[in-house]
Amino acid sequence: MAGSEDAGYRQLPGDVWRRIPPWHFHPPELPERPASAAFVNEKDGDPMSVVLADVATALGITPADVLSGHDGFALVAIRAETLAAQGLVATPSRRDHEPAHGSIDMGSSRSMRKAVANACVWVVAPGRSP
Amino acid sequence: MMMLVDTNSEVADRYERVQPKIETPSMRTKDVRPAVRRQLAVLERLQPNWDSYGGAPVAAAAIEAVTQLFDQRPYVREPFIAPVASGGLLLEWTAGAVEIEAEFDRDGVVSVLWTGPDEQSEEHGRAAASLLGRALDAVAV
Repeated sequence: MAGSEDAGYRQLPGDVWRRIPPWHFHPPELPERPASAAFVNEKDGDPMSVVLADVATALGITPADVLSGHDGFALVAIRAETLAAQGLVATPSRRDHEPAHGSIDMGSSRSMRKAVANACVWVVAPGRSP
Repeated sequence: MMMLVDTNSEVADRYERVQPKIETPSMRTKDVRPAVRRQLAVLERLQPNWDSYGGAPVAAAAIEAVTQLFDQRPYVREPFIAPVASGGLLLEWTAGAVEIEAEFDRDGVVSVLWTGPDEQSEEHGRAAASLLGRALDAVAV
């Protein structure tokens, strides 16, 4: 995993953001990346929720907004090239209170989740304020 | 004819030379089970929506499956254990260039991803249990 807020996250076209709960910081003492368990479909099988960063930025939604109310969470970006390399597609799925909401069907491949976990970048690293 | 007994030190020395080394758990690296139990005790208290995306609490079947795994293989390195949104548990080890991930779903069924220097294997169900058994040899202590 490369980059952090301190190292200067630079948003690229097609980035998607996802919150990472503290239970997925790996390793817990000095987190380098999220666990692959952070990149799975939802419990009922619905696609994984993400924030479409381009849409968010256009609407003035910041990483701090995405993390609001989620103390201790971090935020990562999955690059468009990572999604493409894994055959993943981020689809807009706007919700009432989440206009930049998107969805990605992560399927059941463990190796794909692992690849995403290894390739994503911190937008707001663990222990940092947005 | 009865032989005179050597001194204690000599007897001890002979015993040492002729007896095979007997390794007991207390002589080996620590049993990983207490550390695993501590991690599980924290994770089993997770509330619904612990991941902010509607994640389910960790299922009892997943806890039981992990507990059984370490009852069978207590002398392995301590894994990183993380909850999975479905109610399962992910176990992860790194040993040099080898990475092992074992995910127990909410029914306790395991899937395994084994990543070596030049190859990767992924299995589910019974085949995964077999792969996990072999993979744990890489993190045995």
